[in-house]
Amino acid sequence: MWVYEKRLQFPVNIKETNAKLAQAIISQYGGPDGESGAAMRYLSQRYSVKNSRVAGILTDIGTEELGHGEMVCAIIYQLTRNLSMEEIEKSGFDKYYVDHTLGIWPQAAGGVPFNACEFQVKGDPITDLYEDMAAEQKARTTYENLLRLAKDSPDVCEVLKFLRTREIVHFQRFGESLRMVQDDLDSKNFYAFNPDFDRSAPCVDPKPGCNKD
Amino acid sequence: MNNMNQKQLRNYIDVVSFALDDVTLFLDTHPDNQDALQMYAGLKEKRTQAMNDYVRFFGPLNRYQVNSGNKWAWNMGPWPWQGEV
Repeated sequence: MWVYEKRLQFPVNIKETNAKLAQAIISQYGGPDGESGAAMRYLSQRYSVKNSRVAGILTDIGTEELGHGEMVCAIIYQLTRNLSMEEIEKSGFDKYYVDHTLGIWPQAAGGVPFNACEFQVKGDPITDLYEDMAAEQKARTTYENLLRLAKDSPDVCEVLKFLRTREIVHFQRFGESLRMVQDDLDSKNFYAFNPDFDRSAPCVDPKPGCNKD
Repeated sequence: MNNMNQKQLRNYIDVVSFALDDVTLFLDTHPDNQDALQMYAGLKEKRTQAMNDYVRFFGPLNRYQVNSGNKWAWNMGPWPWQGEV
């Protein structure tokens, strides 16, 4: 069960209007490496995870990603709230405006709609955690690309820098989660075992003393 | 709340919380309704008391309620989606 808190994880206070920048930043809401995909990825993966601590990490990071989606939307909202018709036409925002006016819809910077195919739930915690680590790196790169585009907007940069750092922290925690899952594996069957599906490690080379099925 | 076991207290929290969820929606569109305001206040007090008891005797229900000794116990199962086994 979730409860909404009327606050952001990190404050967003942007005075300028910049539709062009907003169109780039919207990728971190609905794009391939955005916060919506991250939240859905972790919160969907957690159900079948047998390692309780890892299920908790996926819950906690997934929850934080929901909050990050809110922060990204706050940036987009503030950058576009005072747009004039003239700015809409000049900045190239007109194509987005036709379908969404100044509402915020999850899409990539190139206009591609949010798509669940942008993440996977494989049901194997090793596979899923590798994907999660890669996802955090891809999001970090995206924030770095955005920071280059936002170099003249210090208020935006402050938030993007905060979000970028969280990608690094999450990458670290997922790496540790992977280690926790791997520590529980049978050393003889390290590569041939899905700890969330196989009941016990199959004996590749059965010999006396092997207590697995 | 006295004499409730963990399951009973959780069930009580579920019931009171759902009532709060529902009265919240009602108040969102009827902000001056005195009966609903009174109901909210009463339920809020019940939930606060029950939550305090639950955290004290059975552990945290959210990440801001953890009272750890020397080992972090927040991300330990069972998780709510696992049902009762």
